[in-house]
Amino acid sequence: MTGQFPDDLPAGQPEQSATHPLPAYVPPPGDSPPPDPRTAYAPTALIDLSIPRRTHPASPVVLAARIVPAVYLGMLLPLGGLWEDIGLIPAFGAAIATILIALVAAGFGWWSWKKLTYYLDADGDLRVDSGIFQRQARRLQLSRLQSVDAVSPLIARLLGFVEVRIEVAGAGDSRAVLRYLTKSQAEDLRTTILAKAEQRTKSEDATSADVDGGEYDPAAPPNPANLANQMDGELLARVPMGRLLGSLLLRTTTVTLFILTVLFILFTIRTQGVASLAVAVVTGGVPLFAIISEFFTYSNFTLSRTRDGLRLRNGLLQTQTRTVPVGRIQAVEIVAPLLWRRFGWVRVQLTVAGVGGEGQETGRAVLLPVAPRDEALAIIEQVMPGVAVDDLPWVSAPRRARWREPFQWPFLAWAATDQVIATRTGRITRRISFAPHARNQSVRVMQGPWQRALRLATVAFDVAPGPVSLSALQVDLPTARGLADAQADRARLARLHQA
Amino acid sequence: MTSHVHEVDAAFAPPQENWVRVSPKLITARRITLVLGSLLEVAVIVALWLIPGIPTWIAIAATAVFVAVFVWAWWLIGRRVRSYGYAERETDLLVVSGILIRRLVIVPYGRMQMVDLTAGPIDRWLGIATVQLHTAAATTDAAIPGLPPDDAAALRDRLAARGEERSAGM
Repeated sequence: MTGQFPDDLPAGQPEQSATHPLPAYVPPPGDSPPPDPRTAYAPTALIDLSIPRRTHPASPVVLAARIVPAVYLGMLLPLGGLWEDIGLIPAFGAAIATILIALVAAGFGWWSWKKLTYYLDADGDLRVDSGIFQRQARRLQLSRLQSVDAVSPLIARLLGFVEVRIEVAGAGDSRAVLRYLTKSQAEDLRTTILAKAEQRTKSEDATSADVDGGEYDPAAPPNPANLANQMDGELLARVPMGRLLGSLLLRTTTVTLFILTVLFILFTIRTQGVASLAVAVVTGGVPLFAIISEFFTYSNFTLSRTRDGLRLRNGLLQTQTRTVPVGRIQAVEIVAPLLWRRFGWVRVQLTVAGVGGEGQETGRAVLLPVAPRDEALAIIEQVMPGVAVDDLPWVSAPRRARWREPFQWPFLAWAATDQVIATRTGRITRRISFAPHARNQSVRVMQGPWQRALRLATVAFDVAPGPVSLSALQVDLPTARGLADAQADRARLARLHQA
Repeated sequence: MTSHVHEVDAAFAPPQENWVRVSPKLITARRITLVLGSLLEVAVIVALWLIPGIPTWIAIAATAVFVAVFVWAWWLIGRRVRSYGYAERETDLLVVSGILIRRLVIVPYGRMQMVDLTAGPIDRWLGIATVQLHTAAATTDAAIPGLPPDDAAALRDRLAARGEERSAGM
């Protein structure tokens, strides 16, 4: 599927398979080579997963510890008076209650720990059986493995434990979370799963021609370290916290709402009423909440390129990981809000088919929450070789389009290259959207009465549902049908070449 | 304005000699739906005339508005149905529709994921059906209503066959 935009960039992935030992090989201490930072974490033990295994026995304790802060606060704050009523110092009473609750939680944790096992079945798929009352049997097809991640939420990190998340592509049972393992256990498990996945992928490659990511070379020997490297990938971008915060504050909606808030507060002071203060709480509170939640979501954002595609990792307290196979990218949009342009920032979002194996057909993925425009364009060019956004042959809307689109008409344009169809819209928030011809599903020409009088038409390029839509607005009428017919041909031919 | 009419028509012109038009039975079907949809309004207007105490001018105004809208909708249905057309090219299907807002959609056969054939009770009674094309995009919006059932089934089969042919090897 990736014929149009090959994953294997010549400058991209370093070839490592030949130079690194299999993880099963333990180099004797003393003369081991200096660890390569890219493989330094790659552990050396493969574990036997044919027998059912459990998570770390201390898991119930970690599970219980996780809820302690919230339970303690819950016991202390609302029930402060109650503790005094029964003659206890609130802090002490709450502590006792918290310990009791934590013990119960640990008990249930122990029970569910007893009931959870993971192993590889005869088919080489990973099974996770769990559940105290309601038994759950999860089966993850390792040949479709997307990622194995060791994630450490705050409390678990303090106690030295990590949770392992295993994700496979596709609908249904696509994800398993193992809580908790020690760091080294997690790494061993990861290596083992990667090694098995590599074997499975190879054997399936041999039998099936329908493989996503044609860059895979079935001739190479299975090498978990190599696969791990490729899964971790090459870092393409990182978003600094300061820039993220700045960009969230400078979003058009945020700024508008904050200005409104200030106006409401001034109005309140003048009229000495309180009604608009309530409005101010909403107009000020909603964007504040949005900023905080997006800040938590997109903190520590990194984008890397892996064997399976682009790896997006982000999150302050909890790390989210998503793998976006390049071949599944349906459309790309570069968004530049008014106040970001001062700093030359843009956001890049994607419509992706089958995001992260969450069972959705298509969905949204933020490729870069905020990045300098040049950096963003360079990454886009690397991800989709040959797509140079600044060199697109834009065809602008004719001048008379200003009677239909008085604000955005100077920015309206479309462009077609041999790879993509692109559109440019917006005035306050500018958007450049493009889609590979192979992802363009159909083409529409539309014309309302006002457009008819102005001899204009809109040409829409349909792509899979998601955040990106492509419409060439206010196209000069004589060229509109030609554009539509030519684009339908380009879309058809792109798919033919891929097949 | 007259000099532009030619251009407008060119933008929505058929690829060959003519669009394949849909059956005029669709006009009947849609007008039946219009009448059924108007029953409630008719009941309200009858009530306005019958209930004592309501000024006659209100009843007259309501009746006038209703009749005007009804006649306009009745007339528009005829024009809209006559605006539907489709053309099968070698590599793609074209569907055209609309009077006030004109639409043309081009769907390459290789992009079709599904072809639906549907007919509601009124459609079945009159002997027409709708062929709808689906691609991976939700916005594709390519439906051809008002086809005689045999034509519709034949069109669906042709489209499905071409779709398979074009996407073979995927």
